[in-house]
Amino acid sequence: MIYEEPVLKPGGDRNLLVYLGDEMSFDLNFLVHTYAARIREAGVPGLVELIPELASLLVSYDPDRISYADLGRELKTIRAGIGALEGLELPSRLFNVPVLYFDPWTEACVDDYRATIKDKEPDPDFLVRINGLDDRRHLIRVHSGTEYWVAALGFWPGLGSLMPLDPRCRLTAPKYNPPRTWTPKGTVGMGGSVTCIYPDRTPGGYQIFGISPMPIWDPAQRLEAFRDSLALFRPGDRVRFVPVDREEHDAVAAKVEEGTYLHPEVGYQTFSIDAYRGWLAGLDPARRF
Amino acid sequence: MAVDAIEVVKPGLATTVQDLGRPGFYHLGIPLSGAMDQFALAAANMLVGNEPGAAGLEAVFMGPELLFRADATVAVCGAELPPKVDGAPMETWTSFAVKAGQVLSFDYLKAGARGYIAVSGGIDVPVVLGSRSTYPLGGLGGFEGRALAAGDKLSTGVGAAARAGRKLPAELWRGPGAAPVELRMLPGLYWHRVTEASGARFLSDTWKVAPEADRIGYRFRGGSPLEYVPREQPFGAGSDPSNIVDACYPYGSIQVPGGTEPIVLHRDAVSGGGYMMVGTVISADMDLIGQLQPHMPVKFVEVDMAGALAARKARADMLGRVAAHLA
Repeated sequence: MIYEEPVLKPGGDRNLLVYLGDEMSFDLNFLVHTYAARIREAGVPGLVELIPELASLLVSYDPDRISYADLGRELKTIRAGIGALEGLELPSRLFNVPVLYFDPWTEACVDDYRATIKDKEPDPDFLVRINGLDDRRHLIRVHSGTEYWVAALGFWPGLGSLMPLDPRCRLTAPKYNPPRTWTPKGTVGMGGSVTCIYPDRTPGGYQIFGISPMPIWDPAQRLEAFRDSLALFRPGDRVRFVPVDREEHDAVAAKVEEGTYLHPEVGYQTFSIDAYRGWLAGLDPARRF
Repeated sequence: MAVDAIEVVKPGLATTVQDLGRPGFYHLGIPLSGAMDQFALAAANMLVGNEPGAAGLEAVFMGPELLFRADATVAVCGAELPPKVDGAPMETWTSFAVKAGQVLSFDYLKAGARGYIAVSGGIDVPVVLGSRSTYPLGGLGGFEGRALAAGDKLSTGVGAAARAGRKLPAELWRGPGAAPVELRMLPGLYWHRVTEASGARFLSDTWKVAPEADRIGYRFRGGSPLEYVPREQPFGAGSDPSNIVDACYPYGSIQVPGGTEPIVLHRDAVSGGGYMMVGTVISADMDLIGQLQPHMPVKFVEVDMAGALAARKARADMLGRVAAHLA
């Protein structure tokens, strides 16, 4: 549901949370990022930082420069200026992300978890079963058959929540319970209907089934792609997973190690919601990969 | 500047370099970091003649043992973690001299949880994203992105050292005070998801700090589980009523996973996720959380925005009195 009027709540005396709706949906998230761009353009005084999420936006502000009430009024005016989604566009880079599916590292991680949690079905087989897929290769085709929308960054530095843009490629998965204590860096996983790449070796709760040798987070800013930011993705970017074999994986990993890796990226595109909706309307939802 | 001015003999439990933090990168998932008790760090810095936001050391529960290779003025504020120079006791909230060749060590913790050690010139580590603070989980900032270890050598910056023997009177010390500690909170965020009776119990119950209390967040135990206003969970939120569609977690926000144990997110918090939050501890009281020991009883006390802003001003005024006292 997208709210007619934004709902504003205080997050203490220095943050304000604006809810534009309450669900996980592409339209609502597109609205959140459009709204964030409009707030930035408006140059609201006292604004410290904007943190867009799936359905809401946290506005961090300096209460010595603007009051909660005044900020709220500004934010409502900006929301009212957006109107309907038709005709809206956002800048959107496309990243091709090489993935070695069913790699030895995530398999070892799953085995490690299963040593304690004996009844845990191996993640790829579990995903195949609960999503009604034929086999593991079918899982690769479906997972790599769509572009993903970077809906939000957070939880861990550089971690993006990725939503599939092709509805025929939607997969679902419950999260681990209890969570894992470690996940290999670069692991590709999913939980709920969101896919992610683990930026670093971290705890985690998503079902895991592949690994990418392409870094998405680089605090040392060694690689060229990180010259301007420690995180590769920005909200509103898109990601396509490209299945690679072990040889290609190792070739990329070697270049990363050397510090010479160039991230494949298409940086001159915009995302038009009208064009996307037109494309969606022409899809036959019954045909799957 | 004094290169390798301090050698870490014993690191303590989890001693990290911290300044006032790294705001502005939460949108990338990078937390604020910085001193948990910002008042104590600022006061210690002012005592030794530094800017309030210079980098110092945050020692939790147990102090480090540090060998000084250069003369310095030092102050320790926050927890009652009594400093010693070559074994001779020194006072907290007071500047004292440490000569080259002397060892700064600490007695057992008497009260509070985190001692802030300021050294004249400040601890000089590289500035990462505008801050010298350590974010150990992300390996970012501070000394090599981690807590100190034996054998580490810390450099100090330039700056005129204040004289030894400057002392803050007890009325300018700030700490959590007598139990139960009152943490003022502004209801909001998802407070509307909780029934009125349950919200009232949340505020009347006495909670206890759980052992899982660190720079990411402080967990509390012992109060009543939350009861929720019934609703159909929206698409994308987990099935438990404590789950929400992923949202950003502000600094100080009180999340309640499973509706049972509130966690107040602190300086190294994760920036967002799918747990509902009942409100936010006001900024003035976040320092106090940094001084809470496990098992300490705590009450959440409701304030409105005006109350939160008045408390914020009172804290700033107190820091102003510290500066005036030392001027």
